[in-house]
Amino acid sequence: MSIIINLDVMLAKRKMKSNELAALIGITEQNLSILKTGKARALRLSTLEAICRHLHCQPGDILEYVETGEENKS
Amino acid sequence: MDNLEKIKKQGRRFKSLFIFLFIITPVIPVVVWIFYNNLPEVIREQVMKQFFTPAPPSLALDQRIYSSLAGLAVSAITMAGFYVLIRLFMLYEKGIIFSRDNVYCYRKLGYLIIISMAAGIIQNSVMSVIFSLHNPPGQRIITLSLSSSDIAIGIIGMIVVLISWIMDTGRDIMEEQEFTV
Repeated sequence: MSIIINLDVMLAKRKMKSNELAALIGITEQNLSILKTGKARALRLSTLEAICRHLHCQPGDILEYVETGEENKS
Repeated sequence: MDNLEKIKKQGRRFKSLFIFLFIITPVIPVVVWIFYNNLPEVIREQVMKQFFTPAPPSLALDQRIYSSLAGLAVSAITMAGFYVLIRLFMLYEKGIIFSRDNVYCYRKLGYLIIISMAAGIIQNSVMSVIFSLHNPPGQRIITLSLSSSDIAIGIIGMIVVLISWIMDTGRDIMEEQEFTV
C-alpha cells in the first residue's frame, strides 16, 4: 500500500495509548490496530476527522504517500 | 460441536479420501489394460462400452501397453484434480473457507474439468487407433467423437470457473468492508 498511516508517531507525541484513542473516536481496538499496521483498505472521513480532533493534528500529519517500486517503473 | 469444528472434521475425512484416490488413480488404468484379457467378463464389458469405438474382446500385448499409456495420460489430469481437492480440503481442515486460496482451488478445478473434456475426446480417438492396430490395412479406424456428455462436462467446467470468479469478487468486496475503518 502506498499510503502510510503514521498513527504511532502522533500517539507518542500526544502521549496517548491506542486503546484510549480507540475509545475516544468510537472504534474498536482491533480496527485501530488494522489502521496502525497498514492493513486498512479504506478510511472513512468521519474516522479521520475524529482522529485529527482527538490528536490535535492535521490529516497530513497522519497520512503519508510513499512511491513504491511499481509506481517508479511506470 | 460447533459448525466450524464440523467443517474441519469433514475436511480431514475428505482430505484422506482424496489422498487415497490420488494414489490409486494411476494404478487402475494400468491394471485394467495390462490384465484386460483376464478380466471378469462383467468388468470387461463395462470397459468395452466406455469408448466410442467399442473395445475388442481381447487385445495383443502392444495394444494393452499403448492403452495403459493412454489411460495414464488421462489419469494425470484426474490426479491433478484430486491434488487440488486435497489442497482445498486441507484449507477446510484448518477452518479456512472463503480465502483467496479456496477460490484458486475452485478455479483450477473448473479448468481441469474443461481439460478433462478435451482429454476424453482425444483419448477416444487414440483408443480407436489402438483397438484397430492389428486390423488389415484398409480396416484401421480413427474416430473423432463429441458426445452430449462431453459438452455437458465442458459446460460444468465453465460454470465452476465462473462461480470461482464470482466468489473471488465477493471475497474482495467483503475484505474491503472488513478493512474499512
